[in-house]
Amino acid sequence: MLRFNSFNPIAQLIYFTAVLLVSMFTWNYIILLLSLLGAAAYCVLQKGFKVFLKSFFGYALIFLLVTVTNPLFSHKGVTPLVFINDIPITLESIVYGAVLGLMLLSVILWFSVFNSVFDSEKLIYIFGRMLPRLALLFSMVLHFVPKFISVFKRTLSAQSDFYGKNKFRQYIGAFSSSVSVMLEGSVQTADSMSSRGYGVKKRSFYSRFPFTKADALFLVLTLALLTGVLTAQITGQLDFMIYPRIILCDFSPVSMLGIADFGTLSFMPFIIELKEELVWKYSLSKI
Amino acid sequence: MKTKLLILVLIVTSVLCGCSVQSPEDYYDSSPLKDGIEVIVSINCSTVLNNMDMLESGLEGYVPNDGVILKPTYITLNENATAYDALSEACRQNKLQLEYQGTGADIYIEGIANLYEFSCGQLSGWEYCVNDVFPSVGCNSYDLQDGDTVKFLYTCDLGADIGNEFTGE
Repeated sequence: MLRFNSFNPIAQLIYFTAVLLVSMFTWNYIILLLSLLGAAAYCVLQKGFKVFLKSFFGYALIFLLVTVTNPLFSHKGVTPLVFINDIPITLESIVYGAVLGLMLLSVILWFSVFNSVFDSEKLIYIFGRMLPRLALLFSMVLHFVPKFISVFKRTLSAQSDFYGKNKFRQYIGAFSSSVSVMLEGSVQTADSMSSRGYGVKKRSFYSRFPFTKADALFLVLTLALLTGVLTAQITGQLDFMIYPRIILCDFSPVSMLGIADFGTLSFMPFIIELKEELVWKYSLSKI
Repeated sequence: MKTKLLILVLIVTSVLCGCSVQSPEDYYDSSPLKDGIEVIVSINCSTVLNNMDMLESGLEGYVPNDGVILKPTYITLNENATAYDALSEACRQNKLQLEYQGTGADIYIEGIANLYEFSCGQLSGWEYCVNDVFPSVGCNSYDLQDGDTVKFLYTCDLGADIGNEFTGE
């Protein structure tokens, strides 16, 4: 099995950096749309359509908010659609807001993919040698939040009738006791770590992430595709203008290549996962 | 739940009642005032022509060849109209884009006809003069007299290139 999840963390980190950098700094609606679709497709394949749709509604609200607020504050552009109190609402500022919202949406989605792929073990694998203490601290902090939530939920359900019907007092009580549980836990962790000899000697590492040929191929492909996008970006082939008049980006061979490259790049996790799903499906015994 | 909904509906309706919504045609074609004071308004950006290398890319097509965005035009205004009123009325009658910041006496002109402050270098922006004198107040605090000549000029050098050098006072 070769899931996207099981690639070497370094290759994955470089992949995510490439996609996020391009999504954040390329001001091109096609690139952003492809980025959004790539992330969404991977999320759907991983979590299922219904779960994805639920979280997507919240993100789509951000998109709508940006699209609606930008024309309220910016009145640039040559095509006024409507005048409200003698102030024009222009088509250009709505489009600007929409592109900005699209960028936010795609970056948020990519970060959610990043979160689901990158666990604390991978973080320690990458940063453990360079910054061992910081990496350990960071992974412990990351661990703290979900643990606190689960402790809080358990406390709340155990104390459900403790404070009568007053919901506020219920939550405050549960909060206070879960904080003390977590503090106690951290003291125990510290004790346990020092009794096992943490900090006595330099730490040795065991990692279960070999760098295989598939990783090398993935990395080379990522960098090659990134170069294609960056070439199109640096030569200005991906530029498009909103103010004062919308001028769509022109489709030259270089820009087409850049867009195709980025499309492949953003759909790569999806393609890898889909291929594995299909292989798995067809290799099942038919008996 | 019901009260919350009611409050929301009330807020939305009150906001909508405070707004006048007009289509661009209605806005541009509403007839100008018949009587009142008469002033001459002109808008000029010829300083950009000497600094084309600093102009934001994409704006080249929006600078007129002679730099005249609005040639001197008679505008009829109310008795106590300000320089800002003259500009906004002139822009409306000639279908020019206009964006400003602030309200009341603090109105600051950001851009006219898609030419904005900082569009042509870090020292660029719009200034105005009345009868060839640059007032040191905002354009919505300057009351116009009958027969005044109001010029809105684009500067690329903090006023030095249009005869209003900034002395730091």
